[in-house]
Amino acid sequence: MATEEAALFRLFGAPVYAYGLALLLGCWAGLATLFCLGRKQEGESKAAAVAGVLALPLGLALARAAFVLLDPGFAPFLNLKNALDLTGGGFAMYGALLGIILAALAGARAGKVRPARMLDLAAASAMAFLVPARLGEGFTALGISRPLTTQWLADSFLAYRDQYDAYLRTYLLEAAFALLTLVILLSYLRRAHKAGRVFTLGCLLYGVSQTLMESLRYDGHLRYSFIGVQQVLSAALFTGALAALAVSLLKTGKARALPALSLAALPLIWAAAVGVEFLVDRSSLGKLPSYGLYLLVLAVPLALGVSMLRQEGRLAKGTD
Amino acid sequence: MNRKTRALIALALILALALPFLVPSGALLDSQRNRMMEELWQEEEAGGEDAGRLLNLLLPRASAETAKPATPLPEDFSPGYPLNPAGFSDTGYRDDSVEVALETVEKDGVVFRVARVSIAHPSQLRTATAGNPSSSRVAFISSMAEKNNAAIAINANYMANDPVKTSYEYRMGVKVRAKLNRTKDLLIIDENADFHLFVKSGKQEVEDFLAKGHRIINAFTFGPALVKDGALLTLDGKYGYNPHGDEPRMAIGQIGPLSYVLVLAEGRSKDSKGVSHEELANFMFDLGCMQAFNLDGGNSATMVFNGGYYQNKSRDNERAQSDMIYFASAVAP
Repeated sequence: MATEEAALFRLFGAPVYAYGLALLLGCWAGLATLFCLGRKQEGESKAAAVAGVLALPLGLALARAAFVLLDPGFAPFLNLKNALDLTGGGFAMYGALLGIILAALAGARAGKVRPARMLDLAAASAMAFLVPARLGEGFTALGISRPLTTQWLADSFLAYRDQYDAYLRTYLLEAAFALLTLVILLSYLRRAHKAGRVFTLGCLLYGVSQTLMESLRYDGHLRYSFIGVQQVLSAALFTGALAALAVSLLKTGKARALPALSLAALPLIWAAAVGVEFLVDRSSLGKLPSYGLYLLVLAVPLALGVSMLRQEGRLAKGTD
Repeated sequence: MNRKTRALIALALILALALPFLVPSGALLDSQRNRMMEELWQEEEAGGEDAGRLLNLLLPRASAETAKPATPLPEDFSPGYPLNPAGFSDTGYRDDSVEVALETVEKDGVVFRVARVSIAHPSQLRTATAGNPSSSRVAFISSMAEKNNAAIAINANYMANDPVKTSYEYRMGVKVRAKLNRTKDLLIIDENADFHLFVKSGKQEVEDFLAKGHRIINAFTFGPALVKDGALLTLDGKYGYNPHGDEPRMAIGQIGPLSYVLVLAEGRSKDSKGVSHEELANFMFDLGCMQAFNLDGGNSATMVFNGGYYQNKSRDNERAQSDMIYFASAVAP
């Protein structure tokens, strides 16, 4: 874990950063996924190529913009010179993901492909990008938890130890979840009943898993006191995905109970998540049971979302 | 796939090659943060805001009188000397350089944990941070206390948790932040380990203090200041963190030269309801404090003694924090 000098070596006098190398691998993985998925149709391949070219500058710029505008620690230094100085670090992953989405939409326009279809491809590509990108956080000050109190976890490979305590390497879990989501999305790409639903499932899976991961992370990144900006965004992501699915189902006029239940459950899920956050911070229950409870809470939106996707699929096939 | 598409794909792959040179970390590097802070301070100093600090550099440093022979500890983040196991008792710790006397006081449904501390040399009042002082790293106070050989340790103001970072913070002589916050009180501990309180972080008062030739060893923006120069202060009813509510609280006070008191008011339990700022101020005043200052409370309130907690707390609900205040032994083994 490097916090100060993250340069691996110098090439022609310029520092080569380990985290940047991981991002390079992530970009190549994401681009390869995008190009492979879009290679069969001329329009899609063109859209993928345009999206690929735009994704990097857009992702980098938006990741930086999101950090400098949202990180409270950067606020006292916020000026154009500091904002444009990338060499000192400071990026927000949600900015990068937004860049990928915008690039996909621009690609869809250029290739005359349905935007929903390009978003599906972009969702899988984003996960392919995230796997190495998250692993790269192991070379930075990011991606670690509160001190661990569970001994077996503290003794495991998942723990990072410093002079005081052992901390969970949350970036390893995030990389694993991204890989799992990638596999699920690639598999769902072949079966999805409607364009855009792979993207919806991606938002749901990433939003739910990242809500938990951002709770585990305790690295001070984009954090206002006890509230992490990226955790709120993650919760908003799965909320948006669930709401979109519910509204879409309600519009068909053929399904009411499940979408209505999902919409009604959203405030309760948020309230329960806030409650568990307090439990994690203050209770003597222990972190492991608290996070077990958190998993149960977050399983609810996931189950509701997947059920709605299935119901929508059945309705599309006329079997419901 | 036509030539144009292939060219675009190649361009995308090549563009990515810039990343290893451009992006060192998702986090802001400590070196970058320090550079930007230095620039900010220089701008402020150029504006004459902190002229007193320049004067401070020109004036001779005051030296502390020591009552007992002891080896002064260095003014850095190194730990204190290992404690003498024979010095521990049920009621505290004692060696030739530090004395800690613990007492639990139950008053009006509140359990107060009181630690009276006397030290031989100012350098024994110390602070520790979980990582680089300007970083966001956190660790358990109990872990930091153990590694720093603390005779007794308490939480400070959890400075990394301040979202806006408009605060004035020093740790062991290192300037961490230099933005006086007009809404918060400030505690400065000088080279004699004497406390100086600045209500609403009064800029002129701080400049006057520095102009007298004092050095800042530790400074904490939090508060409110509870007792100043032996007088109970009238507290701001709108001060942050639920001033009128019963909450767990932590306060530090100075009774006399090299003599201090640490007070933890337990709360949020059936045995102890917690205290308001005013109740805490009265308690500190009654203990005979000349200066007293409220530190971070709630679940942050932590007092660690002899490898355990001098309060009703377990490691499972200890809040990891960025920094702590502790007293160390100056007796070399």
